[in-house]
Amino acid sequence: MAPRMPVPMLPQSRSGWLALALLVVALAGLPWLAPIYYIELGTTAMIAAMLALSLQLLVGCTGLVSLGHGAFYGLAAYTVYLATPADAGLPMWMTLPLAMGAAGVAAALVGALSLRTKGFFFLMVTLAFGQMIFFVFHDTKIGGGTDGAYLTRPLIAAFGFELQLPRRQRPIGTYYVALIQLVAMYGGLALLLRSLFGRVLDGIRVNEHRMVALGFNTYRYKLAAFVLAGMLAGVAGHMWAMHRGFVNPELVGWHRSAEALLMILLGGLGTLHGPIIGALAWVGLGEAAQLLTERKLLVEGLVILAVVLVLPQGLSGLGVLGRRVFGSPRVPSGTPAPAKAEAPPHG
Amino acid sequence: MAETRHGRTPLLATRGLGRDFGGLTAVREVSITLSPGELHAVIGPNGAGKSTLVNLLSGELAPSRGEILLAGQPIGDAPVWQRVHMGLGRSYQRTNIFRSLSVFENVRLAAQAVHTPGRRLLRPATRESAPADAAMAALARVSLADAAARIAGTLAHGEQRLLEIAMTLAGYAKVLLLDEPLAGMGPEEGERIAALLRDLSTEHAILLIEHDMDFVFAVADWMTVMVDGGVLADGPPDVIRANAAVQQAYLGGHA
Amino acid sequence: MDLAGIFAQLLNGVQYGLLLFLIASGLTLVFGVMGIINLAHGSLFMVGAYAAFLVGRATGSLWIALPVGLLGGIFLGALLERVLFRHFYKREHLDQVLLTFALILLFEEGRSLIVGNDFYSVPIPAALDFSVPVTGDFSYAAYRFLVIGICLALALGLFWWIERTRFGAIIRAAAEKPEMVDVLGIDARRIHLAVFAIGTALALTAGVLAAPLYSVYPNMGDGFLIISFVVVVIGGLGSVSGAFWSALLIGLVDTLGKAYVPGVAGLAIYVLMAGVLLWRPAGLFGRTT
Repeated sequence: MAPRMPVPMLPQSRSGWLALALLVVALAGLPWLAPIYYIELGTTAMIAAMLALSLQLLVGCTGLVSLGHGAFYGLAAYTVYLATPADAGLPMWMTLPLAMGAAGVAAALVGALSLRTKGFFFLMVTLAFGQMIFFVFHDTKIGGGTDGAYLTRPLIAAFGFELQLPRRQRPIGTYYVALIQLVAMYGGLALLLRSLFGRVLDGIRVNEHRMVALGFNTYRYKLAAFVLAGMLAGVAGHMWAMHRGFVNPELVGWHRSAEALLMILLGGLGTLHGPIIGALAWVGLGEAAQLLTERKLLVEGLVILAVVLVLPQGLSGLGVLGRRVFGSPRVPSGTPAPAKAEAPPHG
Repeated sequence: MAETRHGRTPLLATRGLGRDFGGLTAVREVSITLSPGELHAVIGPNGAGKSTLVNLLSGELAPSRGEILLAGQPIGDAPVWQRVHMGLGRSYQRTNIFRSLSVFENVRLAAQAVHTPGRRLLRPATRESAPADAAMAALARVSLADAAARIAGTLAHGEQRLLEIAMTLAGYAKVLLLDEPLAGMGPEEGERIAALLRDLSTEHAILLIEHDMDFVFAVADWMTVMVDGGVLADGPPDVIRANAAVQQAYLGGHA
Repeated sequence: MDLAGIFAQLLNGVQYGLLLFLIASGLTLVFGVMGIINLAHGSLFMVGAYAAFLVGRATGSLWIALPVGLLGGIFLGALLERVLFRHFYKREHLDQVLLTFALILLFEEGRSLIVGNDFYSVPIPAALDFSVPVTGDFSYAAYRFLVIGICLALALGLFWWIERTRFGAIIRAAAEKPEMVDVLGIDARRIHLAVFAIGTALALTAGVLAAPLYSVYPNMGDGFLIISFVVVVIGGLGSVSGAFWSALLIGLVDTLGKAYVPGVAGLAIYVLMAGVLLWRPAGLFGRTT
């Protein structure tokens, strides 16, 4: 009899799913309790979460560490800027597919070339291509050059029906749009991981060499994942345009890509919800740092250093660390961290 | 034991196959054939080119010269993954399984590779019975069905070698390339594998690389002796055993 | 045809390429031998440049900056290796990326605390602030000739060390088969220390040499870092000679491009990289495993 197959990276128990549901409820309730400033901060955090989540499809699920992912995010935001006329906002149902499409096309081109390489090479090549996109927006006047540009935010509208809010309540509308997108993205990725396609990605992460030897054209699977991840980064970038109404080259800079990687590590590489936690934590940390000191980058650098040195499993590793320090007879629960990818045999 | 080769079209054939690495010729002009139902062993001292030969056949190395034909079709240019779909399966000398996945998942992936048309890719893995059934059948064949739920890395070495073979079976390969399946195993386990291989050779053609001479002479229908990248002798076991050149070069006290 | 202009740009391209080589060689050596991705390599370049600025401002002379850069680089590299990088050789790429990214942030903050965020120019040493006449109507900056000279000398020194000395042979062996090093009974730790120290020293020296030409400003390491990555990708991982030719190629393409086709010049090297990858995924001199 075929054994039960746990789906990697998703909660393994009912309490796990319950915890996630509670998180969603908490996020949904925030606008009722918090002042506008924190609602907007929450939207920023959820955008970061979507970016990190989209990257997790590559890093945690497939084992592809890309340093150019932020470029697709920024490209999507710039696409909204370029598509929007100077005086009027476009409805979401037009701008979102456009942004995702642009990000997807760029990801297809970059991926087709980059995925011919592996490991360190792949890292550097994705970095370089990301820089290429950065160059386009930084060194030319296409997107307003180094200063960036303002744009008229896309409207929360679809096929004639528009959600019109008074100015003061617009951030709340934007917040819920972001929340819905985040939940939908998580749900969609969860279904993907459950599918046969998701199994292949997991196999590639564990031992790509053997996957090829079994008969999988792994290049095609990786490319599909790369394009999908790029499009999802595009969703996040589009949301940024809706949220801030402003684009600048920092959005496509490689520091953004590195931050996305950090959020994944912070929240835990082995789960799908980890990047979300990591993103919320990172944005929260940035806020706290700004309240305490002018040297925000210094605090951030020290935190990253600490996390990498002390917590190789991210925040979810805090539980393991705590048990090791304080001692506990209980076996750690939850999905174990994924094993390192196995190297192909020599000779 | 399989029937004689004559009159049977070979399932796998090489013609003048060779591979160089810079100035070093690892495999010279090797021409061998593998017929359906045959258990064909390739033996030779270390450095004879056996591993290179297997890598050429599986596609992990590109040939410098010569041809490889699978069921009459030239496959020398075909990438590794494509050869699997044409009926070639390969196991590894150094165990190359998915250690952190379950035994079942190891084999299920192998089955999925050849069982799943593209349009079913987005369906939940649990609902697709074809790869799961093929996986359990393959595990049963190598007597590992009870271990299906265990994590592959926790299996004993001998069981991991069996898992290697199961993975080639789940892919429905017609030709099995087995690279030292006995590596690191004790004598009783060797018996088990010998029985398994004899059983498998009724449905598959098997090309086997091995060092254990007792084992090879006990199971093989046909043998090829390689020395220095070339074929020294090629024939049924008795002929090979009696061959003076082979005795001198390799067999020692096995006359 | 403005021959003098073309000569100048060719020499500029060579000079830029040689600076890139100094940075990229450290990057490729450290990865080839230890498997470490060091994003902070650009920051080391920055440290060298700011060191030149500070030494120049404090002593009024830049000549001291060169040995300061070289020796300081060796010391800093050894310190970083012993305290931090040593623990990361077996870690995942992701961890190394984030560790070195954190270092970039810390270096930048350090720079901000010590020197502030302004753009500073670094004057060329007075003794070299003239043009060398090359032909009738073409003369070229003496300082740039010096930079070319020093870089070539360092490059030759590096090649000699790698190809001709016993230590270099060990480096080459370690890059190809790390297990061999232990088998031969050589203390791998000393090799790692030396390689990291030398790589750091080269990057710092490049920074010192570059300071009068490019001035010093926040995040200056970033641009050079990314281009060095492109150099390594095109040249092939772990190949110092590959890095040399690829650096010259990129230096020339970028400089000539910016001079004669300014709009798209920035894209040219990436297009070049894409082309090389299509043809040779392991780089021009890379080993295909």
